[in-house]
Amino acid sequence: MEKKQQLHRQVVMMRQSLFDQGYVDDQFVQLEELQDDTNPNFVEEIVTLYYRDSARLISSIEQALERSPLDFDKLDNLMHQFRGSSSSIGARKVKAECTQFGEHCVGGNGEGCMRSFQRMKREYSALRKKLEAYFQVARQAGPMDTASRSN
Amino acid sequence: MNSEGRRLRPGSALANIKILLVDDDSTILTIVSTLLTMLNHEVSVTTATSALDALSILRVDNVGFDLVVTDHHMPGMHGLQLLERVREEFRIPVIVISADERKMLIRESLERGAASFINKPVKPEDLQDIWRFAKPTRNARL
Repeated sequence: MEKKQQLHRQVVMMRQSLFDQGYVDDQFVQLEELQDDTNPNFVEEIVTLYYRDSARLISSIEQALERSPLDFDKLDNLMHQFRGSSSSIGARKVKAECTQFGEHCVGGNGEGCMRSFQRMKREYSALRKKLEAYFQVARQAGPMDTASRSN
Repeated sequence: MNSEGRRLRPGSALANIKILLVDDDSTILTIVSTLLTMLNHEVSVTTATSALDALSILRVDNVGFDLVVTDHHMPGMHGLQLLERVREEFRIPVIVISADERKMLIRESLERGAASFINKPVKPEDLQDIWRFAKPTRNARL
Protein backbone atom coordinates (compact mmCIF):
# COMPACT_ATOMS: atom_id res chain seq x y z
CA MET A 1 0.00 0.00 0.00
CA GLU A 2 2.80 2.37 0.92
CA LYS A 3 4.61 1.67 -2.34
CA LYS A 4 1.36 2.42 -4.20
CA GLN A 5 1.03 5.72 -2.36
CA GLN A 6 4.62 6.58 -3.19
CA LEU A 7 3.97 5.83 -6.84
CA HIS A 8 0.85 7.98 -6.79
CA ARG A 9 2.82 10.84 -5.28
CA GLN A 10 5.45 10.41 -7.96
CA VAL A 11 2.78 10.50 -10.67
CA VAL A 12 1.35 13.72 -9.23
CA MET A 13 4.80 15.31 -9.12
CA MET A 14 5.70 14.21 -12.64
CA ARG A 15 2.39 15.50 -13.93
CA GLN A 16 2.86 18.84 -12.20
CA SER A 17 6.34 19.09 -13.63
CA LEU A 18 4.95 18.75 -17.17
CA PHE A 19 2.93 21.92 -16.56
CA ASP A 20 5.50 23.80 -14.49
CA GLN A 21 8.21 23.28 -17.10
CA GLY A 22 5.87 24.40 -19.86
CA TYR A 23 5.80 21.13 -21.76
CA VAL A 24 2.00 20.91 -21.80
CA ASP A 25 -0.90 23.33 -21.46
CA ASP A 26 -4.61 23.24 -20.59
CA GLN A 27 -5.41 21.11 -23.61
CA PHE A 28 -3.64 18.22 -21.86
CA VAL A 29 -6.10 18.62 -19.00
CA GLN A 30 -8.97 18.43 -21.51
CA LEU A 31 -7.62 15.09 -22.71
CA GLU A 32 -7.33 13.82 -19.13
CA GLU A 33 -10.99 14.71 -18.58
CA LEU A 34 -11.93 12.37 -21.43
CA GLN A 35 -10.29 9.51 -19.56
CA ASP A 36 -12.59 7.32 -17.46
CA ASP A 37 -13.06 3.74 -16.32
CA THR A 38 -14.15 2.65 -19.80
CA ASN A 39 -11.18 4.40 -21.36
CA PRO A 40 -8.49 4.43 -18.64
CA ASN A 41 -5.50 4.88 -20.98
CA PHE A 42 -7.05 7.42 -23.30
CA VAL A 43 -4.35 10.08 -22.90
CA GLU A 44 -1.52 7.62 -23.47
CA GLU A 45 -3.31 6.24 -26.54
CA ILE A 46 -3.79 9.71 -27.99
CA VAL A 47 -0.16 10.64 -27.36
CA THR A 48 0.98 7.38 -28.98
CA LEU A 49 -1.20 8.16 -31.99
CA TYR A 50 0.27 11.66 -32.15
CA TYR A 51 3.87 10.44 -32.16
CA ARG A 52 3.06 7.81 -34.76
CA ASP A 53 1.35 10.22 -37.16
CA SER A 54 3.62 13.19 -36.61
CA ALA A 55 6.72 11.17 -37.52
CA ARG A 56 5.46 11.16 -41.11
CA LEU A 57 4.89 14.93 -41.08
CA ILE A 58 8.32 15.64 -39.63
CA SER A 59 9.89 13.48 -42.31
CA SER A 60 7.99 15.42 -45.00
CA ILE A 61 9.19 18.73 -43.54
CA GLU A 62 12.78 17.46 -43.46
CA GLN A 63 12.58 16.48 -47.12
CA ALA A 64 11.04 19.82 -48.02
CA LEU A 65 13.86 21.64 -46.19
CA GLU A 66 16.43 19.79 -48.31
CA ARG A 67 15.04 21.16 -51.56
CA SER A 68 16.41 24.21 -53.25
CA PRO A 69 14.92 26.70 -53.58
CA LEU A 70 12.71 26.25 -50.54
CA ASP A 71 8.98 26.09 -51.15
CA PHE A 72 7.81 28.23 -48.23
CA ASP A 73 4.11 27.68 -48.99
CA LYS A 74 4.56 23.93 -48.81
CA LEU A 75 6.66 24.19 -45.65
CA ASP A 76 4.07 26.45 -44.06
CA ASN A 77 1.25 24.02 -44.93
CA LEU A 78 3.13 21.03 -43.53
CA MET A 79 4.05 22.80 -40.32
CA HIS A 80 0.52 24.10 -39.99
CA GLN A 81 -0.77 20.52 -39.96
CA PHE A 82 1.83 19.55 -37.39
CA ARG A 83 0.97 22.57 -35.27
CA GLY A 84 -2.72 21.63 -35.24
CA SER A 85 -1.90 18.11 -34.13
CA SER A 86 0.54 19.27 -31.47
CA SER A 87 -1.90 21.81 -30.06
CA SER A 88 -4.57 19.12 -29.79
CA ILE A 89 -2.50 17.17 -27.28
CA GLY A 90 -1.42 20.32 -25.44
CA ALA A 91 2.23 20.20 -26.57
CA ARG A 92 2.94 23.81 -25.62
CA LYS A 93 6.64 24.21 -26.44
CA VAL A 94 6.33 22.20 -29.66
CA LYS A 95 3.41 24.38 -30.73
CA ALA A 96 5.39 27.53 -29.99
CA GLU A 97 8.25 26.41 -32.24
CA CYS A 98 5.76 25.53 -34.98
CA THR A 99 4.37 29.07 -34.78
CA GLN A 100 7.88 30.50 -35.00
CA PHE A 101 8.59 28.31 -38.02
CA GLY A 102 5.42 29.59 -39.69
CA GLU A 103 6.56 33.16 -39.17
CA HIS A 104 9.88 32.39 -40.84
CA CYS A 105 8.00 30.86 -43.78
CA VAL A 106 5.92 34.00 -44.20
CA GLY A 107 9.13 36.05 -44.11
CA GLY A 108 10.87 33.77 -46.60
CA ASN A 109 13.63 33.16 -44.05
CA GLY A 110 15.20 29.78 -44.86
CA GLU A 111 17.83 29.95 -42.13
CA GLY A 112 15.16 30.85 -39.60
CA CYS A 113 13.10 27.85 -40.73
CA MET A 114 16.06 25.51 -40.28
CA ARG A 115 16.82 26.82 -36.78
CA SER A 116 13.16 26.65 -35.72
CA PHE A 117 12.85 23.15 -37.09
CA GLN A 118 15.87 21.94 -35.11
CA ARG A 119 14.49 23.54 -31.93
CA MET A 120 11.09 22.01 -32.61
CA LYS A 121 12.62 18.54 -32.95
CA ARG A 122 14.46 18.96 -29.66
CA GLU A 123 11.25 19.98 -27.87
CA TYR A 124 9.34 17.15 -29.56
CA SER A 125 11.90 14.57 -28.36
CA ALA A 126 12.12 16.05 -24.88
CA LEU A 127 8.33 15.94 -24.53
CA ARG A 128 8.23 12.36 -25.74
CA LYS A 129 10.77 11.27 -23.08
CA LYS A 130 8.89 13.12 -20.35
CA LEU A 131 5.53 11.65 -21.34
CA GLU A 132 6.85 8.11 -21.75
CA ALA A 133 8.37 8.24 -18.27
CA TYR A 134 5.16 9.72 -16.85
CA PHE A 135 2.90 7.10 -18.43
CA GLN A 136 5.17 4.28 -17.30
CA VAL A 137 4.94 5.36 -13.67
CA ALA A 138 1.20 6.08 -14.02
CA ARG A 139 0.64 2.52 -15.26
CA GLN A 140 2.60 1.12 -12.31
CA ALA A 141 0.68 3.28 -9.86
CA GLY A 142 -2.72 2.31 -11.26
CA PRO A 143 -5.84 4.49 -11.15
CA MET A 144 -6.19 7.23 -8.59
CA ASP A 145 -9.15 9.42 -7.79
CA THR A 146 -9.23 12.97 -9.22
CA ALA A 147 -8.91 14.43 -5.71
CA SER A 148 -5.32 13.24 -5.73
CA ARG A 149 -4.52 15.41 -8.73
CA SER A 150 -3.40 18.96 -8.43
CA ASN A 151 -2.76 21.45 -11.17
CA MET B 1 -15.78 20.29 -16.02
CA ASN B 2 -18.98 18.47 -15.37
CA SER B 3 -19.60 16.39 -18.45
CA GLU B 4 -22.82 15.03 -16.99
CA GLY B 5 -24.28 18.51 -16.91
CA ARG B 6 -23.51 19.00 -20.58
CA ARG B 7 -25.00 15.80 -21.99
CA LEU B 8 -28.26 15.79 -23.90
CA ARG B 9 -31.29 14.18 -22.30
CA PRO B 10 -31.45 10.50 -23.37
CA GLY B 11 -34.15 9.82 -25.91
CA SER B 12 -34.20 13.42 -27.12
CA ALA B 13 -34.66 13.61 -30.90
CA LEU B 14 -31.74 16.00 -31.00
CA ALA B 15 -29.68 13.28 -29.40
CA ASN B 16 -29.86 10.92 -32.39
CA ILE B 17 -27.61 12.91 -34.64
CA LYS B 18 -25.42 11.37 -37.33
CA ILE B 19 -22.16 13.25 -37.86
CA LEU B 20 -19.46 12.85 -40.46
CA LEU B 21 -16.12 14.01 -39.10
CA VAL B 22 -13.36 14.76 -41.63
CA ASP B 23 -9.67 15.36 -40.84
CA ASP B 24 -6.44 13.96 -42.26
CA ASP B 25 -5.00 13.85 -38.71
CA SER B 26 -6.08 10.70 -36.87
CA THR B 27 -5.08 12.17 -33.48
CA ILE B 28 -7.58 14.98 -33.93
CA LEU B 29 -10.21 12.62 -35.36
CA THR B 30 -9.97 10.48 -32.22
CA ILE B 31 -10.09 13.43 -29.81
CA VAL B 32 -13.05 15.18 -31.48
CA SER B 33 -14.93 11.92 -31.97
CA THR B 34 -14.48 11.10 -28.28
CA LEU B 35 -15.57 14.60 -27.25
CA LEU B 36 -18.73 14.29 -29.37
CA THR B 37 -19.73 10.94 -27.87
CA MET B 38 -18.90 12.17 -24.37
CA LEU B 39 -21.26 15.12 -24.83
CA ASN B 40 -23.94 13.01 -26.45
CA HIS B 41 -24.01 9.25 -25.97
CA GLU B 42 -26.60 8.80 -28.70
CA VAL B 43 -24.66 10.55 -31.43
CA SER B 44 -23.28 8.45 -34.25
CA VAL B 45 -19.88 9.61 -35.52
CA THR B 46 -18.33 8.40 -38.75
CA THR B 47 -14.80 9.51 -39.61
CA ALA B 48 -13.03 10.16 -42.89
CA THR B 49 -9.39 11.10 -43.43
CA SER B 50 -9.86 13.02 -46.66
CA ALA B 51 -12.46 15.12 -48.45
CA LEU B 52 -12.75 12.54 -51.24
CA ASP B 53 -13.38 9.75 -48.71
CA ALA B 54 -16.00 11.95 -47.08
CA LEU B 55 -17.80 12.45 -50.39
CA SER B 56 -17.69 8.70 -51.07
CA ILE B 57 -19.23 7.98 -47.68
CA LEU B 58 -21.96 10.56 -48.22
CA ARG B 59 -22.81 9.13 -51.63
CA VAL B 60 -23.00 5.55 -50.39
CA ASP B 61 -24.89 6.22 -47.16
CA ASN B 62 -28.63 5.80 -47.60
CA VAL B 63 -29.79 6.99 -44.19
CA GLY B 64 -28.15 10.34 -44.46
CA PHE B 65 -25.95 12.43 -42.23
CA ASP B 66 -27.23 15.38 -40.25
CA LEU B 67 -24.01 17.33 -39.97
CA VAL B 68 -20.50 17.37 -41.43
CA VAL B 69 -17.57 18.66 -39.36
CA THR B 70 -14.45 19.14 -41.44
CA ASP B 71 -10.90 20.33 -41.08
CA HIS B 72 -9.85 22.93 -43.64
CA HIS B 73 -6.19 22.19 -44.38
CA MET B 74 -6.14 18.73 -45.94
CA PRO B 75 -4.10 17.34 -48.83
CA GLY B 76 -5.93 17.29 -52.16
CA MET B 77 -9.40 18.80 -51.76
CA HIS B 78 -9.44 21.20 -48.82
CA GLY B 79 -12.23 21.81 -46.34
CA LEU B 80 -13.86 24.80 -48.03
CA GLN B 81 -14.04 22.92 -51.34
CA LEU B 82 -15.64 20.01 -49.49
CA LEU B 83 -18.04 22.45 -47.83
CA GLU B 84 -19.28 23.68 -51.21
CA ARG B 85 -19.67 20.17 -52.64
CA VAL B 86 -21.55 18.94 -49.56
CA ARG B 87 -23.94 21.88 -49.53
CA GLU B 88 -24.57 21.64 -53.27
CA GLU B 89 -24.93 17.85 -53.51
CA PHE B 90 -26.37 16.84 -50.13
CA ARG B 91 -27.64 20.05 -48.52
CA ILE B 92 -26.13 19.03 -45.18
CA PRO B 93 -24.86 21.74 -42.79
CA VAL B 94 -21.06 21.91 -42.51
CA ILE B 95 -18.92 23.14 -39.64
CA VAL B 96 -15.30 24.01 -40.43
CA ILE B 97 -12.50 23.47 -37.91
CA SER B 98 -8.96 24.73 -38.29
CA ALA B 99 -5.81 25.67 -36.42
CA ASP B 100 -5.64 28.64 -38.79
CA GLU B 101 -6.87 31.64 -36.80
CA ARG B 102 -6.81 34.15 -39.64
CA LYS B 103 -10.02 36.18 -39.88
CA MET B 104 -9.84 35.79 -43.64
CA LEU B 105 -10.41 32.03 -43.38
CA ILE B 106 -13.22 32.42 -40.87
CA ARG B 107 -14.90 35.01 -43.08
CA GLU B 108 -14.44 32.93 -46.21
CA SER B 109 -15.83 29.83 -44.49
CA LEU B 110 -18.95 31.65 -43.39
CA GLU B 111 -19.36 33.38 -46.77
CA ARG B 112 -19.21 30.02 -48.51
CA GLY B 113 -21.98 28.78 -46.27
CA ALA B 114 -20.35 27.13 -43.25
CA ALA B 115 -22.81 26.81 -40.38
CA SER B 116 -20.02 27.64 -37.95
CA PHE B 117 -16.24 27.82 -37.57
CA ILE B 118 -14.27 26.30 -34.69
CA ASN B 119 -10.60 26.97 -33.93
CA LYS B 120 -8.33 24.09 -33.01
CA PRO B 121 -7.61 22.80 -30.45
CA VAL B 122 -11.28 21.84 -30.19
CA LYS B 123 -12.67 22.11 -26.67
CA PRO B 124 -15.85 20.60 -25.19
CA GLU B 125 -17.52 24.02 -25.02
CA ASP B 126 -16.95 24.43 -28.79
CA LEU B 127 -19.01 21.30 -29.47
CA GLN B 128 -21.59 21.62 -26.74
CA ASP B 129 -24.26 23.24 -28.93
CA ILE B 130 -23.37 21.97 -32.39
CA TRP B 131 -26.51 19.86 -32.46
CA ARG B 132 -28.46 23.02 -33.24
CA PHE B 133 -26.65 23.21 -36.59
CA ALA B 134 -27.85 19.75 -37.63
CA LYS B 135 -30.23 19.40 -40.58
CA PRO B 136 -33.40 21.49 -39.95
CA THR B 137 -35.71 18.59 -40.87
CA ARG B 138 -34.35 16.65 -37.91
CA ASN B 139 -34.92 19.50 -35.48
CA ALA B 140 -38.49 19.88 -36.78
CA ARG B 141 -39.27 16.34 -35.63
CA LEU B 142 -38.92 17.24 -31.92
